[in-house]
Amino acid sequence: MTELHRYTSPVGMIDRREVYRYLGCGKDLPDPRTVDLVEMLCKQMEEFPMEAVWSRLPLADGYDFGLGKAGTSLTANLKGCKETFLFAATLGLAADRLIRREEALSEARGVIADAVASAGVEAGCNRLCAHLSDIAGEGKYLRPRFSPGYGDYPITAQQPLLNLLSAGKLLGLTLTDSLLMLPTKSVSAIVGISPTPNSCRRGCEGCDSLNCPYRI
Amino acid sequence: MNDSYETKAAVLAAKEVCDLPIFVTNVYDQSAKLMTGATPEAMVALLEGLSVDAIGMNCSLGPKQMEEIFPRLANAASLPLIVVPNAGLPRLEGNRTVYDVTPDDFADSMATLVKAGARVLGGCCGTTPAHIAKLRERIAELTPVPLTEKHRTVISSGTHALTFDGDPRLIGERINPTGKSKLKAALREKNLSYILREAAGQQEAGAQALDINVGLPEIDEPEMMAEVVTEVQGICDLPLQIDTSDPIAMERGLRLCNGIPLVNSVNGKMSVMEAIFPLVQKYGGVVIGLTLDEDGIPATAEERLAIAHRILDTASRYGIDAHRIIIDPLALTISADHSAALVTLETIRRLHAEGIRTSLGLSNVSFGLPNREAINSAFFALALENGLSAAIMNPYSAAMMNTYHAFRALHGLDVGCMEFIEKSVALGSTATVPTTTTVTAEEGSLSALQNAICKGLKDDTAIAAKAMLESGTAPLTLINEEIVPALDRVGKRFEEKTLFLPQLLMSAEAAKAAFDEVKAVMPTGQSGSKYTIVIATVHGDIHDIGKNIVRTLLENYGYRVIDLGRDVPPQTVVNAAIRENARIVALSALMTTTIPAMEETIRLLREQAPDCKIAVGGAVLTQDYADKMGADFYGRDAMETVRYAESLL
Repeated sequence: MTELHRYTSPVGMIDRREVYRYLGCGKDLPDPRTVDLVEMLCKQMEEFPMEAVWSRLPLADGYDFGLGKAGTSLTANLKGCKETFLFAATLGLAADRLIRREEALSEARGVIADAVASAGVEAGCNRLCAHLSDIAGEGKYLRPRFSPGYGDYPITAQQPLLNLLSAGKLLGLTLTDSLLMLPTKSVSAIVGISPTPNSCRRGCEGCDSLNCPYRI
Repeated sequence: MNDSYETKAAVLAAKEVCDLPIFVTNVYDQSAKLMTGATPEAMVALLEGLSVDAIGMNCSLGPKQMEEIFPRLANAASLPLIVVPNAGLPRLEGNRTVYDVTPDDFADSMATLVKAGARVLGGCCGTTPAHIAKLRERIAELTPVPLTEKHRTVISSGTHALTFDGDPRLIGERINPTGKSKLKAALREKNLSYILREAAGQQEAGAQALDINVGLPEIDEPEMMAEVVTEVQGICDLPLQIDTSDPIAMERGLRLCNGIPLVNSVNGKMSVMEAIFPLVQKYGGVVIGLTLDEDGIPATAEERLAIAHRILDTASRYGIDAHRIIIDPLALTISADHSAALVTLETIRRLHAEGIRTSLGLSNVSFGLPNREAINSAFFALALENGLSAAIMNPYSAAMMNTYHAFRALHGLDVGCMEFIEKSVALGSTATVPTTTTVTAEEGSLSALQNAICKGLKDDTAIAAKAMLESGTAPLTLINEEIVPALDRVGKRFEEKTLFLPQLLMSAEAAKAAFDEVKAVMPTGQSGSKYTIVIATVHGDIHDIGKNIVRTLLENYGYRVIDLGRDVPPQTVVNAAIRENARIVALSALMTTTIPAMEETIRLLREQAPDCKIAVGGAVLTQDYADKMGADFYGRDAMETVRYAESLL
């Protein structure tokens, strides 16, 4: 049996630039009304609790994260790691309800709430990873988190990963038949624990989708 | 159980197949909530409303953590309480999950819980026969705390409870078609987005519960009630008031409500009480009792009190206690009878003196008078001063909200006047809807209307459009020479990336406000629509924000758009395309995993509706994908799809 740990913490500071990027603004600042709405919703979302469950596992040879055969981008990400953290995190149904409520008020507000919640769950995950980094111990360094569906790590790895973490039972986090996570503002990921601080490609730089509209 | 809606379903299921006692325990986390957010007070309201026999908590937490949450159950509940903790929080040792609380410590904590009111005790994960033996030994000398009736008047949603405890409560009246032509039209057209906007808007304005009344002669009221209750609960976590005179619609509403609603209403007529009280017995609910009967509405307070007592007595025969009844002493129109308000106020005062809760629909009092808000808000203040527990009112009215917040501040219900200050600041910036536009024509080519659309100012746009129509501009001229050029200008700036998605949408909403003005004066039968487009998010996909954006823009450009929603099976799309004679079918998919559903939809469309053009879009798609699937067009964003639609004209 895997040792599972619970983690609950408010989302915390949301990076506004991320929100604007999701809204398609690139590196530009949008009009003042959009900025006001983003601020209002960020303030609400920053207080939202993010619930997570995590586990620390040795990265034994042949260990299968639902990969079937190892994807090259995840293998590259984990190269040199002896162990990993796995986690699943969610903003819960309340975030989905907030988005739909904002959308009922106006489409602009719905789009902004959706972007804020996406940036919110990422902010919560950054906080969780900082916490995991403290736990990792002396001389251990965390790799950037890597999620099913990212690079060539197949989205089908989602189910075994969530099963391993009992995410359904502990967080109410489930998958639809087409592998969408519910509640929608949720993240599952693998975080390599490295004995050396060598960096690897992260974020957009680490992704091969060169034509992605959100790429910066 | 982990969720309030599931709990309600389970209790109803048990009650429908047997009459054994029902004990319910829920799993709370360390923040004292269920996984889906319900508080202990919400669960007490729900379960006491459903008349179960004992309630409590189990699993997840150890006895120490339960000691912290338990008092909240004990303060709210009149029923016997159950505690079944784990032997502490789980911890791993090697490959084994270990629970650290020893039988002695477990028994000590449980004794504390017994002294706090727990009556049914047990052990969940990690407890052993030794824990239970110690528990038995340790509590042998203890006597259970006597049960006390809390007499709380309480309703609930899937997340929280709302008590009627002296602090006046606001029930939003906007989802009730009486006198509201737009809502009537929305109900006839099954336009749920209009209704959801009213729900979200009222919550934002400060309503604490929402009235749901969907009664119109020409619609299937039970079905509409089911749909509206379900959809509203999906976006809004306020408790509801199920408002209908149709017992079948009432039962649908009560059954689907995630929590315990207000039941609006019964009155002194025996036939009405006989139809409604059995439903309340089964599903729970706090009942609004109107002081009228077979002889109409009495003229005096004495007679209205007599009806109130008759309602309370009849309810008690159904096992419904007095604290589950709220009396509405009815506000009549002062322009018809100058003493009408006084009788209502006296009835409120006397009911209040007897400890009976009251509610009132306020706006009727000013019917037929000018400046109704002045009368309504003064009447509201007087009713509150006489002890009114709840008002069914319009939370968008600044005058009413001001009265409410001022009353709470003056009555010592708003410590430090914090809420009053906060609301007053907010009111200053947003509450007033402009009646004259502040937007003017811009130097160069833009009219005031175009300028308002480009700036995304909805109210200003409506005012400017109305002014132009009134000064003789033909509806079609307004569309073709004002609205569409303004939209094009915004669309062009979006394409040039000098303006972004939120602004594009604000302009689209503003344009929609102009269209609404046009529609109001457009001769019937002349829709001005270009052609029909069917739009859907494909089967298995639930992301619909992108699809909704495309729909809005297409509607703005004058297309008739049939929106099938999200997670739409392939054949449903095909059937709609054929039935609506659609020129274009637009499909959206966000995930690689839903691409096969899109392919299947396209395949069926090619077979059964070969004349249809197929446009696709969504985060995961590319031109390559679209080509491989045999789509006619791939839209990278909403504007591209509009341009494609325009190219087929």
